[in-house]
Amino acid sequence: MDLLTTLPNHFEVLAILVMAAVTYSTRIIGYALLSKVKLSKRVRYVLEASPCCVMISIATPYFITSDLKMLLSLGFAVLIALKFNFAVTVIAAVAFNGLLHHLPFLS
Amino acid sequence: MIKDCLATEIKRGLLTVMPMIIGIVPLGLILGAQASHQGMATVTTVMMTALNFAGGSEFAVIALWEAIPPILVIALTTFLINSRHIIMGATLAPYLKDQSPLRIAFIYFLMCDENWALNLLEIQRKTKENYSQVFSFAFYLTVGLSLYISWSLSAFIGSTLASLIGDLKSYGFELACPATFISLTFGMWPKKQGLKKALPILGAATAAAIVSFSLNQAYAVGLGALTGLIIAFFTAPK
Repeated sequence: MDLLTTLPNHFEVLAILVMAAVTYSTRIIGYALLSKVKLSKRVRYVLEASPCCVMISIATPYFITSDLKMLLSLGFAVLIALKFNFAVTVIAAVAFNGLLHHLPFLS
Repeated sequence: MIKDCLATEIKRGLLTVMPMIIGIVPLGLILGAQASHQGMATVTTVMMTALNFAGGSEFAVIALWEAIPPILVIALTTFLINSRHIIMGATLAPYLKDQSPLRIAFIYFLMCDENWALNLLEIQRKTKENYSQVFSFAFYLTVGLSLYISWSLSAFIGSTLASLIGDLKSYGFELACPATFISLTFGMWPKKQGLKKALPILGAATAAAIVSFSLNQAYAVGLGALTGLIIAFFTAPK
């Protein structure tokens, strides 16, 4: 399948429109709310906690695998992420995994 | 009272956003390549980046993408990842009182982590230096549009190159997505703030692991995050 010339199907277009609408709503809700009610302390606390909860929920399932190369690379990514910034972590993890794929004794 | 002219604001905007562009382009390339790897067509990828313009949610949604995408899960994931915008938007609101409704609508369309952060820094600086107008629409637009164009364009290039390269797995690209979120998790981790603040995150991870082990990955994100939010709600300080 040539991804360059393929057009999205109806479901894909719908999914993206829903996604865009949801994202825009998150952007404008803060403005809309502030002119009416004040966010309670508890709600602010939950909202502040939410991004990291989401990020870790996306990362965790990758660890549920029996693929040794994947597990080694994920462990490597964790070690790098503890010390280095975002760009370094991604590039180092990709390079490490690429290297594992080309090591003869692992394949 | 100081007020800078339009050209000065635009020039300062470009200079301020430049380092961010250097960071955002590789990320857009990775996103585009990752999207192609997942079978997302180039047009679809560009459409997503141009209409949605929120990187974190796009990486997550690509991981969930299928020929018939799970729309509810996508909507929930997008909302949860982008819910931080609500707080960001509220912080920006007091400075937009003089703007027209149409401008405000567009300002919020372009609000992303980077644009928000750079503009709040600029607002703080101008407040300190006694400017008559602390929010500059020209500066905001320059920074926002530069990020917007770089993001969509680099995603387009990434997607195109990926289709030429073919399978990215053997080059290690399957690590781009998880490494992104591992790094973002550590970046957002509430450091030195005690176990209580980390509880929701640890709860989310545990729930996500259990769900992906026993159900599937698509539900793990939503249910994991929801678990975290519930824990946060009940452990919030009085």
